[in-house]
Amino acid sequence: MAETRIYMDLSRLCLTPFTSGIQRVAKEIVLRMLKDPAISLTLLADLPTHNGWRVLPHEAFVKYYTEKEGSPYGIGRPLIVTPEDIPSDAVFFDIDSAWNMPMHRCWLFPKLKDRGVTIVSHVYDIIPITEPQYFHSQTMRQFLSWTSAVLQYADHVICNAEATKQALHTLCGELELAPPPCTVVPLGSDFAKKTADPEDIDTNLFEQLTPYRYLLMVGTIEPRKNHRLLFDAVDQLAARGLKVVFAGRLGWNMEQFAKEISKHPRNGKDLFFVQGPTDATIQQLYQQALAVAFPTKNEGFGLPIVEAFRNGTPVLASDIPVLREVGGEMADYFDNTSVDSLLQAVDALLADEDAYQKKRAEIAAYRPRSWDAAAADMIAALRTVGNVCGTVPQDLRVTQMAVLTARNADLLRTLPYLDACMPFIERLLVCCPERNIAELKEKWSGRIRLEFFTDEQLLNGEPLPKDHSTRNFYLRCLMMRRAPLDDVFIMTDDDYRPLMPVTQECFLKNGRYQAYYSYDLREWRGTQGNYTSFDHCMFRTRDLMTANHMPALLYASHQPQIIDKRLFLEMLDAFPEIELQGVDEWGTYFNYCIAKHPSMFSAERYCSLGWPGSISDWMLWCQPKALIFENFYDSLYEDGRIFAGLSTAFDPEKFQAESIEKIRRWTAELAKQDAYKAQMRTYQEMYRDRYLRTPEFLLTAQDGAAVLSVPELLYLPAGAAMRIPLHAEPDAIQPDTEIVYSIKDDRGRQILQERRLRPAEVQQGVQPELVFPMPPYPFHGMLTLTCGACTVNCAVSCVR
Amino acid sequence: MKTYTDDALARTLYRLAAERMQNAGQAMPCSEEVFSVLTNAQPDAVSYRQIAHLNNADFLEAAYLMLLGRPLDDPSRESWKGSLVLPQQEFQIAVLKTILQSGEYRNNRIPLTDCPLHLSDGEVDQNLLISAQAMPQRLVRIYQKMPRFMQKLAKKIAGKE
Repeated sequence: MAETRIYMDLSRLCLTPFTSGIQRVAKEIVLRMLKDPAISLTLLADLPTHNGWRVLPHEAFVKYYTEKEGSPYGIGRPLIVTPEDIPSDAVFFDIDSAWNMPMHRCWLFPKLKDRGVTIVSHVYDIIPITEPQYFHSQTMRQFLSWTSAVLQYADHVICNAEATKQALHTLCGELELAPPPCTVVPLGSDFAKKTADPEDIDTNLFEQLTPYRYLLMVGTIEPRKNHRLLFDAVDQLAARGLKVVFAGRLGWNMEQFAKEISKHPRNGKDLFFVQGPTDATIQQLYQQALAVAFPTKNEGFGLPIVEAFRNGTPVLASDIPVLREVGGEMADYFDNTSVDSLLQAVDALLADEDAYQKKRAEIAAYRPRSWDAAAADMIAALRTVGNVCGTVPQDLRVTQMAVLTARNADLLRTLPYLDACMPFIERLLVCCPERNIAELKEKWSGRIRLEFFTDEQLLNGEPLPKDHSTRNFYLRCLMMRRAPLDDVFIMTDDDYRPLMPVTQECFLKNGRYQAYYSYDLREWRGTQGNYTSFDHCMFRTRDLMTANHMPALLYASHQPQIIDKRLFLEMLDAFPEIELQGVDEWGTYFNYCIAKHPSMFSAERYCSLGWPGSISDWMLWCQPKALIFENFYDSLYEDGRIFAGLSTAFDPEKFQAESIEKIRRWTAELAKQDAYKAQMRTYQEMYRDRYLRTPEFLLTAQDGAAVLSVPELLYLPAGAAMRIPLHAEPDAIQPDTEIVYSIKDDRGRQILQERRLRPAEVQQGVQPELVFPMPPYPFHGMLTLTCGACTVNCAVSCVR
Repeated sequence: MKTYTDDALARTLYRLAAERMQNAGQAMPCSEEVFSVLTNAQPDAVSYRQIAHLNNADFLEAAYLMLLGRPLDDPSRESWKGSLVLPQQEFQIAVLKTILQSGEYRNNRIPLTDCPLHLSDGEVDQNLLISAQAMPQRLVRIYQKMPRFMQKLAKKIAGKE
């Protein structure tokens, strides 16, 4: 069985100097998960920019949390991971208190779901929603946001008690939402150190406490825990010869309570507050207590109960469902609103010494659950939901490719590449006009067998839409319904060429269809002012996906992709109206499938060069994962262009060397783009330091007139074609609003000829952008922008 | 079963909690609008446009939470009390200037984006970038990590100030 890849954000654990409560659970479980060979674990901690993580080295993490040595972050340059780097077949498991993290889940989870990453959230309780009055305002607010992300996006939830699962179901009922699938995994209770280290024990404290003559309450001092009830009973308990010990740290909104403790006349005699006790002290406190009192108003689990049992100590607990579930028959219960009820429970313990000792003996024989068992159950749950192996049959063989084309010449130039590099493909179904068939048959004699299906057969007399993209999608739909296609085949275009030998694994790996994306449709800007049919197609696809709450990545990655015809038809059945709407065949299909069949798909970054035709055609949204295919453009081979001097047709002698050369040149171009972006980031940071704001171009409306504001200084890398967004207020955009901009250098030479941007022509929801193609040499100059009566200048520094 | 947009679900949860807080005799820590803005915020930048529409009291809450990463403290709340009646833009400039010029913000470094308000009192130094770009990247990075007073000192030493 393949190992399950799990990513865990432990930002809070790494920041917390003590490991109690949730951080304790996270630590105990993670340390055990690291030992499981069936799991590949990536531990993460927040970066200062909050948009990515640093990877925690396993050794450093284990050393820090077992031996208290070093730092969980390790030493040296950290490995950085962004949400986009988490693979589709991985599980993102939130075990830490994620609601407190700056990378909030309402932002993160949709990004992960776009690519089908499985999300599992550990829900300790939902008390900040059911009883919000017990929580700090910040915690409650963050918890509400986090819960909405969990309910919307989590594939699975882990709770520690049936009562919490029930509370979650009740909440979903109130919201009329389907509850997420849930596994109940009770927590463990053994301490990291099995025997107390005598040096860590607070001996002064124990000199003042007589064994079995004190009630112990363990946990953070906070309103929900209801320490007040025990505090109010101190005098009556003292009259019975009992002391009270609170052990824990001081939490939110309890400063007044702490003062009351310190001023209590019995403080230091019959009442003790042990702040931040060591594990050893707390273990001895448990062992010597008459009983552990737990008057809490509500809990997600009630760890002190099992910890008391593990130390052979009786428990007096609030009579609430979750504690009944955890404490069972072994604990005694009282009404958490009544001091008398508590005292009655205490009196029952004190009434018969023999019965008390018998109870201790019974509890001592009881073996509460260990952290090992809790971790094993959690791992089992994660492996069930997040198996890296998908559900596509492993023995599936793909032998057919299909192409829609009207251009024989292009297909005939591409065929030798397919023939040489894709040995698993045996047949190519060509959907083309009938008149093209004879020439193809005559001129192609390679290994791949051509099959034909004519446009006439496809259309069956139906008219063909005029718009290029509408026609394209319509024909693909007809192809799925009418052409003799295998259930699973590779769809391609007549100009997608492999650059190296390709196996079926490129398309189908570990039981998952590989889906290659290159952009986020929600950020697609297109060619502003001159939108192409492709741009409109992308916008329509974006709208379709977002309106239906589906991921919206751009899968038109200009490389062959695998299609399961049955799922394509299922998508058409789900959205019958789209056939003539000109949406994108790749984007609709893959986004739909990743939303509906995540276990069958893996979303990967694209693997093609020649997309875009020229790298500076737009700002790359992501870098390709590898370069395996070429989106062929003749023009790229012309003199002065990137592939000048290389062959445009297949030459078996030169193929390998030329492919390597193409990859080298394209990679160098990609690196240049990265360098430009890095330079722009440096400029933006410096600008912010100096001017307290981001260097931006803004179009606002003041007294009915459009007003431009620009940065005081603009830095642009020489040779780059930078695209800088214009933030425009809707009120400032009239149908005739036009921004004219140009750059002159300090000698008065025109560097950038006048360019025009008409924001009203920019697709709704898309940010207008100013385009600055810079010469390859440095200069200093002035950018002038005019909008109506408003003219502004901005100093430009173009640096190599 | 209902289908919610992200924001609609978050708002519904907010109202649910608000009702329970009211039953317990307490008020919610922030308005629903501020809550919605915070829920939909990016973690690595604060978009002025996202908070510009808020009324002065909400803007103040949101600006503290988003730019400083903490709720408005009582002394600050008290000091802003008298200014809440200012016209919206004037108030927003005052709040943003105060926050952005604070040492606390400089440590946080969450960028404020798409803000048309003029917040800087500093003079335009057109040579700054040119001279800085001439510096080796490593030095620039070291400079960026320096506290403000050390940056000033470094500039003085370099004869830039």
